[in-house]
Amino acid sequence: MDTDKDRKVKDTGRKKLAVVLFGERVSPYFGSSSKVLLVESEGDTIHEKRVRDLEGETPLELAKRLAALEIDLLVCGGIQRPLREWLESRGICVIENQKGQAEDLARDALNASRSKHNA
Amino acid sequence: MKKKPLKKQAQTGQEGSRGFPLCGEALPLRSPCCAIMDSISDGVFTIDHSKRITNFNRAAEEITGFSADDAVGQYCFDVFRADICERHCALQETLSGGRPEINLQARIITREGIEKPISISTAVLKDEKGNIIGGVETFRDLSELEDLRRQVSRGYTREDIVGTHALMKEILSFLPDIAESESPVLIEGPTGSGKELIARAIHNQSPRREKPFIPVNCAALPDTLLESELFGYVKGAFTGALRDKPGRFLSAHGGTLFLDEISNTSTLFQADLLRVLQDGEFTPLGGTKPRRADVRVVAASNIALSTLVHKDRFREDLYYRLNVVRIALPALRERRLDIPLLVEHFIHKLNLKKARDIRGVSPDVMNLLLAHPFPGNVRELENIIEYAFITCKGHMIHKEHLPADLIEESMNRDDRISQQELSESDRIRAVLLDNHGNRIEAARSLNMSRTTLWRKMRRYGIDDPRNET
Repeated sequence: MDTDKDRKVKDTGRKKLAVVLFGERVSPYFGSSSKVLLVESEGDTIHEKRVRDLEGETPLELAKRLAALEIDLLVCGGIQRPLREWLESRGICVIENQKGQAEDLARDALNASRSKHNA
Repeated sequence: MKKKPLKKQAQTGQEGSRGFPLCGEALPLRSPCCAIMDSISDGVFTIDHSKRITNFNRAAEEITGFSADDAVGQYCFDVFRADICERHCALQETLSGGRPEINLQARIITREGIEKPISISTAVLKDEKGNIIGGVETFRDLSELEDLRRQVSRGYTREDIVGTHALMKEILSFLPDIAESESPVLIEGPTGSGKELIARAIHNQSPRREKPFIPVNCAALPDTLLESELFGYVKGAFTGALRDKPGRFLSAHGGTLFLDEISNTSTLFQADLLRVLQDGEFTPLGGTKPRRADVRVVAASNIALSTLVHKDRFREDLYYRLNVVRIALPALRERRLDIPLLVEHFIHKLNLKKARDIRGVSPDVMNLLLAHPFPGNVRELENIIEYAFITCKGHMIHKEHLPADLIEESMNRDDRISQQELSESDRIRAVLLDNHGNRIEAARSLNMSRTTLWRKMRRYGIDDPRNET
């Protein structure tokens, strides 16, 4: 269900990624925390990196806010299957069951995505 | 899940005076403690001061989906993944205060993304000198209990809707959006396809979930009764009206009103309903003062309402008022690959409800079910399984446990109905509907004799499609 805008973003290699946070680590339970690390990159360059509080009170609200941010990738720990499917149906690639430092995971996910894009 | 050897565990753990491990240290493989931990049905894990898991028993593996290999050495929150881990860590509070937590309710997300309700208890672990050296958490999977509670209260959610067919997946993926919106919903689908289940799931996921869900079967009541049932009446409105009755609209205030079989209402009633939907106001029978109710309407029909609009049997303005969000449920014969999943789902549900341990159906039963046309759709399948629970005394449902008419029908039929035959049954159904159930007219349209039509209807299990409720 790619829109023209989505295609343009993907074609130029621009990516918007979110990691749901628990302190500086990835949150183990999607919906427990509404703080996310947002990273925007193009090729090897990270244009922007910031932490935002999306203020979603329920896991679904958080998913909706993430979808509204038009992210391409979501890195998370545990995520409820219906929500993962809901996000994927909106063209968001969900990388679940992750653990560790959010920034490391973001970097790994962007590298993997870039390799896939270049392949 | 098969138990894997606890490779990461230390091989040199000691045991305390009461047989508990001296914590912070892992249980040695094949130790009596390890065997005891693995034999209990509650999940148990232990952590050291840095919150790293030191032991993880077999039940913990089964409940969380993570093997001991995956878990041991990791932070407990990364493996346990409970909604309380980040804000109210039970083990943390026990370790800092020294007080145990008992039966704390929480939810975890398993490795497969399944959300499970659990109850947690915690305690500190001490060495022989009384120093705190870690913590232990035991947890119990409450999923079955919650399933039972949901069945009793009919608090169905998306998880109760089973299906991997593309159409069902699409419906399910948009269900949260539909639930969140305040728009009226129209659910169309053949009899027994699960329209009320979808309606309840929408309500239970919506911001109105704490308020009532009121179902009304419009086909079950004549117009006048339906009007008084929905809008209520005042004392003295008619003989026997001894006191005011609020009506379903008012009862559903703040919640959802589910109008099932809306296609069966008269155009006169439809006009009244349209007024309520437009103004949000209605006047109880015999009353003069209009009342107001904040209600979300979800309507359902087993016939496509647009067809009825074309035939002037349904008001076009009401149709557009209801048809803001439309969900079209497929017939079970259009999603045959979901039959094994549904069979498993109903067996699980009935095992819980009836405290039984039926493990499945035999291959010949599954073949028979896959070939059956299911005019009654998912409800018919559920009834077949429920019947088999009465006749089956063992752990496996065999052919002899199925209803006799189903067996007879399958014997009269070839082992499998071909795709061509399925299309023919659909066509017969559609033509009968177009001809208001008139078999002579339908036979003429289908270019076959009346007896051939009758024979085919019997073969495909078609009654009068208008009566399929």
